[in-house]
Amino acid sequence: MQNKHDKAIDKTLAALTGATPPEGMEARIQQRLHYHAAAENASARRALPSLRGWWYGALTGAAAATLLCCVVLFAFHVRLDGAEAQA
Amino acid sequence: MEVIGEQSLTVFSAEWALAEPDLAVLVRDYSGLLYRVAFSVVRNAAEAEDIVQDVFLRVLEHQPKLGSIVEIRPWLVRIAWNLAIDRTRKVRPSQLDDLFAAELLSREAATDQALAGSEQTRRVLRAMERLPPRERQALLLSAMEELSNAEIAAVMNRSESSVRSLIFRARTRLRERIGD
Repeated sequence: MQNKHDKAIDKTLAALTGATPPEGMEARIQQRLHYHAAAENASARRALPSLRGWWYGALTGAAAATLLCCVVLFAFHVRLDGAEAQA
Repeated sequence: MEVIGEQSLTVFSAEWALAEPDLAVLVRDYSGLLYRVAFSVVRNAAEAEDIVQDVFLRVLEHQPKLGSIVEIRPWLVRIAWNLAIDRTRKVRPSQLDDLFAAELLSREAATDQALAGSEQTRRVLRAMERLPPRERQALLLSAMEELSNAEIAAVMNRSESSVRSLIFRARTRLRERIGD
């Protein structure tokens, strides 16, 4: 009886674990990986210019603001000096 | 504009050229085993193939870390097993049993003997579903010809002796249950 049960267990296990992959599975996987990698690369490339644009914008703005502050401070300083000299 | 397009194509090709050989080799060497692992859990060809694809997509995402993985086969088998278990949570095991038993029967001649065998297969499958998860995993993986006990132990994060004892207990439990 035990032998009969063992046979049934082994037969079921063999059927479960001995399945043959469907034809063309390997090629389909390679293809999907290829598309996935291509999509990832494309989205990375699209993200890069926008990120670069953001940095450029921020840096340019900061530089322009700094320059403007310097000009205002310098002009204010020159006017103060002139006023003191006249006094 | 044309030049930028060509440049990016070259960059892409170079990246893929670096990535492709390793993955292609992995797919060639392990897709069959991973399919069998997935099939043993989900018992459906289309689902098993989907799982194998998902395994390799994960490999693609973890590609920079691949070099640090010492035992690639147990690692891949573990991913496939976990993905397959996730899928079975969406389907009732009894549905799987009926489909699988019917498929097995269709491969054999529809004689009384085959019908009795199919009923016995259903009983084994039902008993297998009721096994503790660790015992079921050890039993199914032990039936894969390509996996040694040491590799099964690596997949399950257990010692070899613990795996042997899990397999022994699973078989004993199955014999008792299908004998009832």
